[in-house]
Amino acid sequence: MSRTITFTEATLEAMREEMRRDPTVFLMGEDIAKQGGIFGQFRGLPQEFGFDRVRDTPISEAALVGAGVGAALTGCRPVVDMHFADFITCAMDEVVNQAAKLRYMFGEQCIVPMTLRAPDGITKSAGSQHSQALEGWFVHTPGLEVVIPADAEDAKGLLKAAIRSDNPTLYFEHKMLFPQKGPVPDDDDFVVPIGKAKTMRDGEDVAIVTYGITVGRAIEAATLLEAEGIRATVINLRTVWPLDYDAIADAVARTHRVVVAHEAVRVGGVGAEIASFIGEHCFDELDAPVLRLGAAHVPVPFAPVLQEAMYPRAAMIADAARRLVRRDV
Amino acid sequence: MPVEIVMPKLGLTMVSGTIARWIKAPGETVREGEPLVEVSTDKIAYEVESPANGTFARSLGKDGDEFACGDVIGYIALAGEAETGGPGPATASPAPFVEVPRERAAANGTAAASATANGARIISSPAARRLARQLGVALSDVRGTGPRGRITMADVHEVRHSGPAHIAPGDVPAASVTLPPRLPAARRAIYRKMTEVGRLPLAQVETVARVDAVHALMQRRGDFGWTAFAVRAVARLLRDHSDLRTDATTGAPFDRIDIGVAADTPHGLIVPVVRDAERRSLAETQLEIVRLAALARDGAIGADDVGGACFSISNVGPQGVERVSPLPDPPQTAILGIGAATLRPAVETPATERLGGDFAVTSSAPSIVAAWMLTCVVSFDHRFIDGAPAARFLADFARACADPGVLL
Amino acid sequence: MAKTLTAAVHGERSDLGIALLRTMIRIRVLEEGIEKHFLAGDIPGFAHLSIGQEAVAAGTCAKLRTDDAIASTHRGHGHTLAKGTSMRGMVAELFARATGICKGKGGSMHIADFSVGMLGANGVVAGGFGLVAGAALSAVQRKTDQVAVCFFGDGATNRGPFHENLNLCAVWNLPAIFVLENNRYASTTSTAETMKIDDVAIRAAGYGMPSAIVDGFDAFAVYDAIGEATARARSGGGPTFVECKTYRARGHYIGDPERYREKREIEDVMTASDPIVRMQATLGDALDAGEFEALWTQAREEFADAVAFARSSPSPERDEAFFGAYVGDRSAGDPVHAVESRERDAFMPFAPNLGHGSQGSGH
Repeated sequence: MSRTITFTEATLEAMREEMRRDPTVFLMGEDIAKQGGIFGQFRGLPQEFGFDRVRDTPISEAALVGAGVGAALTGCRPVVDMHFADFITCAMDEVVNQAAKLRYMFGEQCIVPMTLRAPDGITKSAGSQHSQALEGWFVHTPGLEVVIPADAEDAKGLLKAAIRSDNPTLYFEHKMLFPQKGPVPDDDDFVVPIGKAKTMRDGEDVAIVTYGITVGRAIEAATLLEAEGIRATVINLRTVWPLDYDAIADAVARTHRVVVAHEAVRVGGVGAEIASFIGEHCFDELDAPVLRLGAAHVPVPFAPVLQEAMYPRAAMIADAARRLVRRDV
Repeated sequence: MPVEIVMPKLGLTMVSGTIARWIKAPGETVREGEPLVEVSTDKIAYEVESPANGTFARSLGKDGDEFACGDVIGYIALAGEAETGGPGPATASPAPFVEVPRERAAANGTAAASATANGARIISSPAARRLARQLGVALSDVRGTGPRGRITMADVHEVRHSGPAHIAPGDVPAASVTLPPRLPAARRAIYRKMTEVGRLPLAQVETVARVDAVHALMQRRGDFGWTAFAVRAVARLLRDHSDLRTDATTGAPFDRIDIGVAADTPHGLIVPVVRDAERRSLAETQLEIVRLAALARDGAIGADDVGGACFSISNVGPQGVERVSPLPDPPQTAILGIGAATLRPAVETPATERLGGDFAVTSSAPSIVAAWMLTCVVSFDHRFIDGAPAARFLADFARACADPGVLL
Repeated sequence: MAKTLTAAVHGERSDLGIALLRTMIRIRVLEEGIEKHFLAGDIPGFAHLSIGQEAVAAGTCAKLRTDDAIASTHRGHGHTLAKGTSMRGMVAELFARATGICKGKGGSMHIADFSVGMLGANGVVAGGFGLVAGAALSAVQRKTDQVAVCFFGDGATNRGPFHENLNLCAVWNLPAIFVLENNRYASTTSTAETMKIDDVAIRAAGYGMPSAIVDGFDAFAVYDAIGEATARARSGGGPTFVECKTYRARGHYIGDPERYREKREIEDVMTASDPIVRMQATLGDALDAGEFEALWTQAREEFADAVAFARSSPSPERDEAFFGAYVGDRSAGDPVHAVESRERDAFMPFAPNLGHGSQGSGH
C-alpha cells in the first residue's frame, strides 16, 4: 500500500522515523528549527524531538559541516542542512578533506555517518549562486556517497538510507521537487538502497539514463516519444556514487542507444563518467554514440528566458533520443 | 608453409598491379577458387582467387598499394597453421608492409570487423559489428544508413532478412556495391559496373540501315563479318564525331580510337578492344576480332587487350536477334548496338536522286522491295552527348552501310 | 612572558610532575628519533616536530580521560603520544608499515588513534576545530560528560573555521577546550606579522568564551589550566580557551632552512625555557639524577623497540590501496565493493588476472 504525499512530506517522514528509531540522529542547519526550513522541510520536527535534536545554527557552514563530521566520528548520526547546495562551497574543506578522507586516512578506525541535505538545482530565477547542481564534485571525491532523489518515494527511501549509512552521504534534493506529489510505500522501514538504480520505464529503442529532477523530464520525453512510436527506457540512478553500473550496462544492452541527461553542467559532469563507462565496458553494445545532455558551461542566469535556455528539458531529451533512433547521430 | 598470394601478370605489358580491394579480411576462411582480392591495372580490374583452402592469414598491402607482378601480396594459412603466418616483412617483397590490426587478426568469424572497401574504412557501430559477426554477415555487404554511412544494427538485420541489394553512397560507388552473396565470381565485376551504369542518364537514337551493299561485299570478299564492318565504320566516323568518344572521366574525347567489342564467353561478358581501329583495314580488323574472340573464349585474354576503348560495339546478330539496346561501358559515353542483318521489306522511292541527272526523270510511285537491313541503336550518356550529334553519327553510319566503298 | 618557575613540589604533585616529565621526555625522544630516521630516509612524506612544545601536550592530556577526545594538528606527535597511543603504532605508521596505527595510510600528518580518543592529526590548518565542536556536540547529544580538546597553533586562528567553531561552541555551550600552542610562527611567518594582537586569547572574548593565558613551557601550568577548563566543560559550563605561550625549537618541517629566524633565538629560548629542563628543576629533590636519566633511558629503549617493530613489519599489501574509503568496501557482495573492483579494472585495465571481486595480492 502506498500514499500520495509531497516530496517534502516524504523527507519529513524519513527524518521522523529515523529520529524515533535512533536517538543519536539529530538535525542542524540554518533556519530549520523555528522556521521549519526555508522550504518547510523540517516543519514540526522540533515539536516532537525538541530543539536539542533540531538545531538552528549560526550562518557558519564550515562549522556546521565540521561539527557534523566531529559528531559523526564520536557516535552520532547528524543530518546537516546546507540551506542551499551552493553554500557547500563554504564548507569544502570539511566535506572533501575531512568527511571524505578520515576513514581511509585513519586506517578504518572510524566511520563518518553524516548526512548533508543540499537543496540544489535551477529554481525560478534564483540566479547563479542559488541554483547549482554540484554533485559532480563529490562523485569525484573518494569517500563520499551521493544520492539524488527524483520523486517522493526516492525522497523518503534515500534519506532514510543516507541517515542509516555509515558513510558520509550527500543528499541533493532539487528545490523544485519539494511540492511535487508522488506515491510512497506505507512501510515504516522503507529504504531505497544506496547504489541501486530504478527503471522507471521500459522500452527497447533508446535508454535515457538520468537522475534527480531530470528523471521526471525524461519520463515526459519518453511520453512524447511514445506518441511517435519510439519506446524509451528511463533509468533513475537514484545514487550517483556509488553508480549502479550494472543497471547502466543492462540498459545499454537492451537498447544500444543511450542519452545521459542531468541538470548539472554537462562538461566534466556525472554524465561524462557514465558515457565513459559505457564506452569502456559496453563498447560492443553501442549502435550509436552516447549523447550527453547537461547544463551549458555558464553560470545559471537570472532572466527566466535565459535560465530556461541553458539546461536540458523534456523536449531536448526527446530530441536527443529521436536523433539516436533515427540514426541522425 | 602458408601459401603465397601473388600479384598476377595479366598481360604482356603489365609490370605492376594495384590492390583495388581485399575481398576477404585476415582471419576469414577461404576456399580455393574463391575471390580473394581485386587487383587493377590501368586497364583492367581482376579478381584474384584463393590459391588454396585455408584461412586468409595476412595481407602485405592495403587497398591502393601497388605491387610488381609476381610479388607476394598475402598468405593463406593452411589448416593447423598460425593465422598470422607467413614470413615477416624483412623476407617479404619490398612492397609496403602493413601491420594487420590486432582486432582483425583476432577475428575468427566469417565477417571481419573493419573490412575495407576501396581503401575507405567501413564505418560501423560496435554493436553492428558484433551482430554481423554473430550472424555471419560481411560488413562489406551491408549498406550503412547512419551518419557518414555508418552501419547500424538495423542495417545488418536488413541484409540478414532481405539480402544485400543496396548501393552504398560514398566517393567510390562502384566499389561499394553490395554483392549478392551467391553471385558467381565471374559476375561480380559486371554486377558492379552495371549497377553504376544503371544510374546514368542514358538516351538512345535508332535507325534501320539499308545494308545491301555491305552484304554484297561481304558475300564477295568473305574476309570480314558484320562486327568487323561496324568496327571499321565506326572507327572512321569517330574521327570526326569526337563527341561520341567522350571520356567520362575527363569530359574530353579519348585520343586513341580503340573500339571495344562485346564478346559472349563462357566466363561471361568480356569486351576486348581493337586497338587503333582507325588504322586497320577491314580484313585486318576481322583478323584482330577473331584473335581476341579466341582469347576471350579461352579465358586467356590479357590486360593489353581489354580496357581503354573510346567506344564499343555490341552485335547480337550471331544470336539471330534483330535489335539490341546496349549500355555504354564507362568511362566510355556511347555504344552502338547492331542486330542481325536480315531481308526486310523496304519502301523504295524512285531512283531519281540515286541515279543522277543523266536519266530522264521517269517519275513512278514508291514500291516495296526486299532489302538487307540492319537495326542500329546508339545509346549514349546524355550528360556528355546530345541527341542531335548522336543522330548525325548514326545517320552517317547508316550512309556508310549503304555505300561501304568509302571505308575501303 | 613566561612565568617564574613553579615552586618546588612534594607528594602527589611530584608524582604528577614525574609523570608529566616522563611524557615530555618520551615525546622528545620520539621526535628526535623521527628527525634522525626521516633524514635517514626511513620515513616518507612530511614530518613536523613539536620539540619545545612538549609541556602543552603533556600537561593537557594528563588531565583528560581516555574517552575524552582530542583533535590535533600537522604537528601532532606529542599530542598523540600524550593521549596514549603506543610508540610502536606511531613509529610503524610513520615508517609506512601495515602495522601502523592507521595501517600505513595516514602517516605523520594524518595519524589518529580512536581507541584513545585521538581524532587525528590534520593536514589542514584549522581542520580540527569542527571535529572538536562536533565531538563536544556529540557528548551533549549523547548526554555524556566527555570533553573535546582542540590543539591548534597561532596560525590557525586566522582561519575561518576557528572563528565559526569558537562561536558555535560558545553559543551552544559545548564541552570543548581550545588549546592554543602559540609557538610564535605560522609555518615560516612570525606571528607578529600575521596578527596585530599579542595575546590571541582575547579573540575568545569576542565569542563570549572564557580564556586563560599560561606558560606553555610549564607542564604544571598547562595541566592546571586544563583542569579548570575540563571542570567547566564537564559541569555544563561550556568551552574554554587556553593560550599556551610556547616555542617551536625546530623548523616548520624537517629540512626547513629557517631563513626567517636566527639560530640564536632558538638557543636563547631553549636555554631559558626547555620544558624538560624546567620540569626537572621544578621537581628538584623529588627526582634524583639517576631517576631522571632512567626516564631518558626508558624512553630511548621504548623508541628503539618501536623502530625495531616498524622495521620488522611488512609494508601494506598493494591491494590495500583500494580499500577502506567506504564502510563495506571489503565485503564481496557490497555494491560499493563492486564499484571499487570496477574502478580498479578501469584504473589498471591492462593488469592481468584482475577479475571483479578479486582480493588477491600481487596485482
